[in-house]
Amino acid sequence: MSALDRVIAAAADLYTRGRAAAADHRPGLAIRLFRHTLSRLARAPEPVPDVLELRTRVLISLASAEAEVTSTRAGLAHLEVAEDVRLRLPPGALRSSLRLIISLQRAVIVMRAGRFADARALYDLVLPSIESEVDDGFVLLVRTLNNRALVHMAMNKPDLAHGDLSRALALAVEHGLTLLEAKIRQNLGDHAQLVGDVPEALRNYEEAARLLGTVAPGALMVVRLDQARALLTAGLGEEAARHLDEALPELRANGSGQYVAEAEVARAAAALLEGDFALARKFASAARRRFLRRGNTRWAEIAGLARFRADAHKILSTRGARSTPRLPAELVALAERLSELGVRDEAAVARLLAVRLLLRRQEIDEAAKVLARVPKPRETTPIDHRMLFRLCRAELAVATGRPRSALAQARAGLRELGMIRDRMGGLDLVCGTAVHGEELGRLAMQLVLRRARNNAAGARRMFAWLERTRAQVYRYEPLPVIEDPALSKHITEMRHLQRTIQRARAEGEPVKALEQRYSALQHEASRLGWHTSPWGRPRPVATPDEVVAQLGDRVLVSLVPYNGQLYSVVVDRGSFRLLKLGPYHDIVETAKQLHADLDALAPDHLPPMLAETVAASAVQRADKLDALISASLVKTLDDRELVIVPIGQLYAMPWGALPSLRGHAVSIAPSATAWITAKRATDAGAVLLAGGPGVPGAVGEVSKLRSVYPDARLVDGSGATSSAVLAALDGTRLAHLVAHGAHEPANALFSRLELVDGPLFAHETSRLANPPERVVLAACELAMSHIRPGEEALGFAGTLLASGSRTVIGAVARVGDRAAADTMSDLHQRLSDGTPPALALAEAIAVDPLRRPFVCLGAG
Amino acid sequence: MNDIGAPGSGSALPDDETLLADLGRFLDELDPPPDDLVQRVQFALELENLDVEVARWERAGELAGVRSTATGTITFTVSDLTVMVNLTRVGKLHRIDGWLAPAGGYQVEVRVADEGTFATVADEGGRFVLENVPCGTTQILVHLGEGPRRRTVVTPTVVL
Repeated sequence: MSALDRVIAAAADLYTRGRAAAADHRPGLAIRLFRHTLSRLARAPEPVPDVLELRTRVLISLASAEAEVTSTRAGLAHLEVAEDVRLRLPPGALRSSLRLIISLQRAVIVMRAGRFADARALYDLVLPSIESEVDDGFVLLVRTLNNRALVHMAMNKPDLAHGDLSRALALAVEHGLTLLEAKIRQNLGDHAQLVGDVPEALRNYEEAARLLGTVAPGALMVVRLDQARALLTAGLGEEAARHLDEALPELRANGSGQYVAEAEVARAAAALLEGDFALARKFASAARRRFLRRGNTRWAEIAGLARFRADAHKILSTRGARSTPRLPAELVALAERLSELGVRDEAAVARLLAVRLLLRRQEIDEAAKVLARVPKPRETTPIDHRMLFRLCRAELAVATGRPRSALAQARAGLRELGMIRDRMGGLDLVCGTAVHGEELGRLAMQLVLRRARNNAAGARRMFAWLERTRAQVYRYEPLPVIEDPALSKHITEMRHLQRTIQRARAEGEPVKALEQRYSALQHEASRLGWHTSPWGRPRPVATPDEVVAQLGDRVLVSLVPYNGQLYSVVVDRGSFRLLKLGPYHDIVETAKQLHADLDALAPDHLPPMLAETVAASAVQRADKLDALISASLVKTLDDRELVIVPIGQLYAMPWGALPSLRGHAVSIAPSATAWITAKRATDAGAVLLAGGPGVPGAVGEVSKLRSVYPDARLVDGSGATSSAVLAALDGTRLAHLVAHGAHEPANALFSRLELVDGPLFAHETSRLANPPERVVLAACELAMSHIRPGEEALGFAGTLLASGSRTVIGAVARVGDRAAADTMSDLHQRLSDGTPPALALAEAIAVDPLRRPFVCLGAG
Repeated sequence: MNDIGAPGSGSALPDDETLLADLGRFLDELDPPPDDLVQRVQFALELENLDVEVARWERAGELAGVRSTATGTITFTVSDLTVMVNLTRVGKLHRIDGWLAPAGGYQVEVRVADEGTFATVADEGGRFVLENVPCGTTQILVHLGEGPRRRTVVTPTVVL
């Protein structure tokens, strides 16, 4: 081998390593390797075509990495040099194909810098030549189509983008170009997000992640960034934050400045969604500095908007706070700059925030003037921007004394939000969507409540609004689930791990590592649940007339806080009225204390002196809550059933423990619409009795129940595995489940019932084809809920209800083993006599209300 | 012949010191002291007034009989006082609900290492609530009585 050959071989080897680093999203390392390659090539004794070609190629690759890490200008400068070197090659196919590649790289770099029109012109120019001249197994063609699609998307041309992506995907699959296929999938995800299809987006990202996992693990973190953005659209700030916190350190380590800064902008948005304004500001400022350093003006302005957003939201969420005159002025100026850069949606957001701040400052004319300059949303305008637009118009209407027009805006906005929700897959995405409509709903509520205090028509209108704004997740008729083997595998492992953790804990062994693994699996399983087909078919919101007709003799109360007071809309034999109950925060705090009292009182063997103290506290607090809430509700109740639509913390209220409700039939429903759906019960199917391990009272409880239900199917002992119980649940009329239970506060779908092979998760019950009609959960805590914005409450019992069960009886606190067994024996005796579930439960609770914290969810 | 390893015995077997050193090494490796032991001891010694009664931690198992696998309440006792607390996680902080038996309106302090002290007074029923308490090595103090009859009960430190 000659000296020249040796130099070329060594340089080619370095170049390959550099490109691998670049493909793996490690531009910092790539730059070092490329520079190393160039200095190696400089040692070549003569500039033969091979050396010139390689130099050109290295410079082209270096340009991209340098643009990523240093600046656009630095990147383009390398391309100029590349062009010079290329021209020293003899004319021919190689020289002209390198010309194409240089043009394409230039297009990529100007695209990353936000100069889209320039990029598209470059692509349109070179595509015909690529198709006719290049013979490289379609790699370049696929890449170019993919990149032009990105430009189309940035220029808001989703149909053109989809055309390019579909063609590129077909070619990539056909010719086995796996890495490119992953990139196209990722872009198809971005495309789906652009047109508002979150499940489709998540499905594509998941596919991209699967492909990348084998060929380029470094690129995985960029997919995490995309997933986080989709989750933000779905309103899941906490989950988005988790994805970003996972991705950021790796992106930083890879030296990928552009992605780090983009991830920081997304992280700021997640913090804002969670109400952490300081953190949002911190991330947005960091991102802005990073973009400015890189010379990316467009993104720097977007990050600047994120920072102003944090400031504006902090002011707007504080009652009575006003901004300085400067902030709205700065937002308008930013909007001008964003418009010039062609960032239309963000420019609109900047103006809309200015409008809200101006309205707070009572500068109504100025606000109207700024709002008039905001163009109408387009098809691809993100949902949060649309809601903000509606909110501004509604707030302006309120400020100019046009409440009807404000309500019309709110109604239209919530309808748009509903259409987004209808397309969501998986219960938690359906739940999360509400966050974007929260403020609009609150504004509408305040408008109607002001007037509802005076007359019945007002109270009726108020009720209609409550139904429209809360617990929409219970409004869907679930569609059949397509089984996902990857998800089942994760859940099986979680089950096994949970059992291992409990054994280790019992032995006093460390569980930290196991718990970390468990939590990682839980996140992974959530992720897999998101991109399934739409969760369900929406049912219409029940009208007040329908509710009146369905209630018959029953009384329904829908709770709502307003101006620091708890109110209740009471629907009673066709009449609607608004009732003021008591100070909201006092009620919530007392309810929290009572809840803790009942938790503490639960153990069967609590030392008597301690039991006495705790019980005294519970009695005192139950009495106080009774005076504040239920005493006025029961005045005209007589023996009629009470249906309560709770709010926030009051979802965990042990209603049966309040003295004036003792022995009264009470059902809890997330909304009147949900209650009506649950009421349509049928009466077919078998009875199932199932028991998990480690519950001493279970044996007696189940054998007693066998005498009540002699034909019941029994699943217990070593046969009571999660799959056996799940299968047995399908299509039953009544299922009684005795086991240890645990509510998972942060991730309601993974609340669990402990069976012999590990837990059965709420997530799994949501996938039953025919959920059981009635379920009794003789376990701790399983009627508790995690409440998301918009009163979207979900827990183990809630998941069953949302999936189609009619009645679910469960505990809202911890419960003693013996206390539970006694309650159940009393309950089923009455149920088998034909007593309706709510009344049967009320009578069973009345024996010892503080130690029997069960509620009846759904149809009583 | 019981002089194995005795100094100067000339035995081929290791002497006591070597054996003990080896044993020490084994123990360090197989059963090391908890990482936070020193911190916990220092934290406990920071108490200004060491004239206190230390309550005993009642293991959860003794109070079982609940249909839950979750760890819920923690109970501490001395001869004539029981302190029970229930923790609820709120973001990165805790809400502590507590009960004192027999009931009494005593002063309650919760010390968290490096985070300071959070104090409240229980109501007549012995019930107290502390919100926004950071996680960490924690110790609860209850001050009973007044003036010269005033005395303090402390719980062992626990990592919450």
